[in-house]
Amino acid sequence: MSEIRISQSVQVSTSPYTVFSVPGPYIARIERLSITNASGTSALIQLFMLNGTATAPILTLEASAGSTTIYREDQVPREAIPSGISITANATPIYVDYTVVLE
Amino acid sequence: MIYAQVREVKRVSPNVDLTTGIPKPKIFDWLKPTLNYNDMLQQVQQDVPVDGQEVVAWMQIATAMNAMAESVMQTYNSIGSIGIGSGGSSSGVPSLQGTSGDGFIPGVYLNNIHFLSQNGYTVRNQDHAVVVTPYSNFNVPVGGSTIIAINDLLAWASVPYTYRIQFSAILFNWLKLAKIPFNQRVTFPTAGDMVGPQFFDVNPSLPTPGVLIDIGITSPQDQDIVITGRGPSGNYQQQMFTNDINVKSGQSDIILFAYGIPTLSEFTLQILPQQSQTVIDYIKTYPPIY
Repeated sequence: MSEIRISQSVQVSTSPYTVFSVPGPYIARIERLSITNASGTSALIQLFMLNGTATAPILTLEASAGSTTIYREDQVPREAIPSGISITANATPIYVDYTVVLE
Repeated sequence: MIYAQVREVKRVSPNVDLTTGIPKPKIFDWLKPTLNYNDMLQQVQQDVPVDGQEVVAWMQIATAMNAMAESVMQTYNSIGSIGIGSGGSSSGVPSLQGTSGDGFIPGVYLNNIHFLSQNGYTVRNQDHAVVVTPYSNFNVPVGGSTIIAINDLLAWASVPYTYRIQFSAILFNWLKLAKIPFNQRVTFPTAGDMVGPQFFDVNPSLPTPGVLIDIGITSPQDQDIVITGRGPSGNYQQQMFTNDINVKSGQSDIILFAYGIPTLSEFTLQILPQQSQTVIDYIKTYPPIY
């Protein structure tokens, strides 16, 4: 099966928020990730891998107001993601900009 | 509020020219200009090898990064001195500053921001270094980078490597943004193979509902470029639009339509590629807004 690459920017205004749902028979992995805290205060942000009804945290970030944290390709969470990616944040809005590869 | 739509991404040519208009680093005139960090580091290592006494490895890394930073500053700070752009009056001259070194000792600082002086072991254990600014502290992931955009502060910080005692750190600070349009090549801040954003001021001199922005890009490979609209100075943290744009290797024109209701007001254009050797060839606007 060939690879499909999807790039998106999403604005997160509610928590938890499903950033990406993996379609059909694919498994996703994150290739590029940046997270912006556009709220006026610092935020504790967690990224979760969804596997059916199970969730597991894959990234925790304490982000100052006005910060965009950019992860290098070899620093992004490496977990294979079966169902989706969700995010929680104790302050919003948060912007998540990412590329996922579907395999 | 300001909005933006990508109208077209047009591949102009498959040619990848990564040398024309790339200046020699003035402070290290013994180094040849290059956009490739590994080439630059190799030059430094050959010319000034580690001697175990005065010259140690972090100095070579910081020198290569400083040389590349100096090149970026030259391209950015000369916007307006060639053809159209923000030059002319001294108040319009753009100002980007950058520096690199060991964040522990002797420390990395620029204007009123600095890396917290912690040893490399601590930085690696906590998974991030800390940049101290007048507004707040910002975490910079080890092997990653952080854009700091708050009030009138616009900076990019990165921690490419950590060791037991030392950690290499790089800081860029935009003190005065270059205005679009301009017609000259501009490069991006880098830290090893990581790349940071470039920022430009978009400020229509006459009221207009919208403007077409044509961003000429040379890309060494296929990649995503993220274009973000932010508030102007004093309100940099406000994010108004974001677009992910896929460009092919070679020269491309990204045509973006930015508009406001009822008119387009001043905003900051942020361009963030994935590839460190990406070059902006020009940014034009229709109608011209200078």
